[in-house]
Amino acid sequence: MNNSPAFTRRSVLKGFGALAGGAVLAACGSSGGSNSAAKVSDIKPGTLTIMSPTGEITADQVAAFQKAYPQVKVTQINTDPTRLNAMLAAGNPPDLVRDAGTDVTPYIASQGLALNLDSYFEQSSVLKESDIMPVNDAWKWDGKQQGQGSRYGIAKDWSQDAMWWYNTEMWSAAGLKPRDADTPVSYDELLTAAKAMTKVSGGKTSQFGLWYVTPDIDRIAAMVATAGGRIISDDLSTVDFSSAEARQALLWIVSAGKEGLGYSVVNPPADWDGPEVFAGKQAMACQGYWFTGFTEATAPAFESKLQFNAAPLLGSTRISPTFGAVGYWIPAKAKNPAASFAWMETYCGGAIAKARIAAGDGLPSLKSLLPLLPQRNAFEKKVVATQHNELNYIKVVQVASPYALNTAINTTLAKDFPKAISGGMSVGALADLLTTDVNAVLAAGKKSLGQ
Amino acid sequence: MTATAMSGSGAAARGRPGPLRRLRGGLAFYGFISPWLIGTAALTLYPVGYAVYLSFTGWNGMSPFKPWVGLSNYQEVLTSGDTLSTLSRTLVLTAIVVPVTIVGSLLLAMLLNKRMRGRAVLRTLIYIPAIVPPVAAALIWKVIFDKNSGTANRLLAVFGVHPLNWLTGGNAFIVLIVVLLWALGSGIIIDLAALQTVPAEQLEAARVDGAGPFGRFRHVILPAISPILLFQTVLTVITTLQTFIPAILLSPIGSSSMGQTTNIPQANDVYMIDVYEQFFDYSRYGYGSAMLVVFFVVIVAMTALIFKFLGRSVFYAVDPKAGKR
Repeated sequence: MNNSPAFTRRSVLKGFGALAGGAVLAACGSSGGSNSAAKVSDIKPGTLTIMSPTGEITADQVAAFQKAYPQVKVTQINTDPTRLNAMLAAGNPPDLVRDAGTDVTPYIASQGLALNLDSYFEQSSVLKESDIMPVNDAWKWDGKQQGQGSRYGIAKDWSQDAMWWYNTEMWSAAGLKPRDADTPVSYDELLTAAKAMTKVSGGKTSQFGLWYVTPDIDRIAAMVATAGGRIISDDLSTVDFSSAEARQALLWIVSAGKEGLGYSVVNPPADWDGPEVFAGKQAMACQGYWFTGFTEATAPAFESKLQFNAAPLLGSTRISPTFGAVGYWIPAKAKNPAASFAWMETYCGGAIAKARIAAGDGLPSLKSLLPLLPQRNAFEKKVVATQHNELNYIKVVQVASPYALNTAINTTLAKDFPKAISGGMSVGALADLLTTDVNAVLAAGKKSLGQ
Repeated sequence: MTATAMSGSGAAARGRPGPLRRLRGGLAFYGFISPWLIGTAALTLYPVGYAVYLSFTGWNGMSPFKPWVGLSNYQEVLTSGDTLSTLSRTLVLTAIVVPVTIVGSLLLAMLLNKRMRGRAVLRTLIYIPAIVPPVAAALIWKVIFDKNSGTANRLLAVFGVHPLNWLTGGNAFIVLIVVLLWALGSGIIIDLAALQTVPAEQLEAARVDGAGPFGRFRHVILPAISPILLFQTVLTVITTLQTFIPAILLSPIGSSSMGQTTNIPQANDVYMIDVYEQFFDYSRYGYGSAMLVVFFVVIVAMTALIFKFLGRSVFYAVDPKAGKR
């Protein structure tokens, strides 16, 4: 074999080198697809692949959909951003992606990744324009601003996520007066109440007064909006944390963490708010309406102990935003968009939506479904009354950018906040650092689009 | 034609294979190696080539556009304070973990090589951590170092020390080192195997010549096992530089989303975590690829340095270059 000049080690290595080089050249030559125009057509027979967290869509819901659309077979793949990226890059995306409209709409719409759904909504007899709740404006994008323009998705169910709950037993045990659920509390008052309820002994906190305070961009932007400010610039390409309103919000988060009134980025919990509240380790939870169904399903004994409250205010502008409007979008290269839209109709406005809303899992995407919110007992009645009042203050707070996903911004915030909470950095210096670092992330995102 | 044919037949007559035979031999050769060739081509060479290409782009992982940015990603890797800080943190981690691992596993192996009661049980116990899956190991340590219910803080409480937050801030780095050192077992087994190859007659001869325990270790044992120690050093350096899973699993879960690494304390923000963040948190596939290419060069350079400086001290019973002559 060694006698054959065709198979020397060198020639084999050359071949491999050419292959690696070929990969480079092939990749150089490849270009992505373009946004395809939306076109309503009949549902084609085939598979409908939905990327959604495992377990969220039940087998019964799939069966109900397949009964209504027997030509479609639903398959689910677990939410996995890496896999989604790979599928999008390969031009073989899922038919539906479950995501947070507040966070992703400018990004997926501006890059041509999501299908413009205007023509589908125009022809829908289920998701009628006049019936769609304003929260779905989070799924709108006009090329420059979120909240207006074409629709790119719809919420499956949602909550006003700055609303909060408190354990009435811990509240009164700390000598605090019961609150009117519909009257918003100030963030400063919340800190005072949290101090009264936090129990520390031997350096160990046995009871946190406040909820798990995460330095998320949604939360900060919402706080700032209640004080009449704004974090992101009009063209969505830069942020500014140095305004008086933004610094006020940063100070609140830093103080809560420094004083150990709640779990924080420097002392994170083993779990999220729910289990901590039900374990008696936390007096408050910052969760929206959906927490009703969760409480009933997992800790019914807490129904009599919890009070649901209006979103707190940093200033005097009453705004109660959503941090998600979680629902679905259809990738531009989805193979059967009509079937994808049929799922949207069924799951977000049709029979499946009705069943979920009636179970207290969240607020509906359609106004006509609001009467389905469960009011079977005193707990549900009180919660729904508070929720109905709060609906008057829903507003999409502009927070997302076409240049970076909120994941990137939140990673940056989580890296910088500990410097002020457990380090010696002042809030002013933190504001400047956040502005610099987040703007660098946005600039890198802009560069990645060749701008 | 005739001349060629004659020449060909002449060659065949002298024992050289003819064209048909060479072709058949070539087909057989490629037939046998094709599984490896296809695997390497599809799973190594193509991805490496693609990653090198991506490192010259500003691709965000989703967009159909892959803007060519030339060397700017490399320029940023080599000048970014954040990236250089994760690299230096990784080098510090390696500088701590590698010597302790090599020396610690050798000392424990020597202990286990002695004749004593319960030696087999002790060997098994020490090796067990090496066969525990890394995910399970990291989670066990996470529970042990939990601030509120962990064993570490309970032990400290016995001495009146207030509970420490082990998994955040600077303490997280200590926990990461502990987790990496916990799996000494495999190193011990390799050392133990090496120690058992040291010729007993050489040890006996050294003893007869008056060499004490240290002398026997220095002049007989160490040279005999030095190739194994070199192999272990190279392997431990490479694996420690690439530390990822323990760092990510030790970080608190908190409210971070799927695929998001927001809760990793800065002290454990090692190079591969930074790479992961660049890809999956910041959607900077081009920059992340450039980081990987630079890291590959760093690892190759460090391996070369180890061979240059430690290779001289290695004693080979058989000349490693003998086969090349």
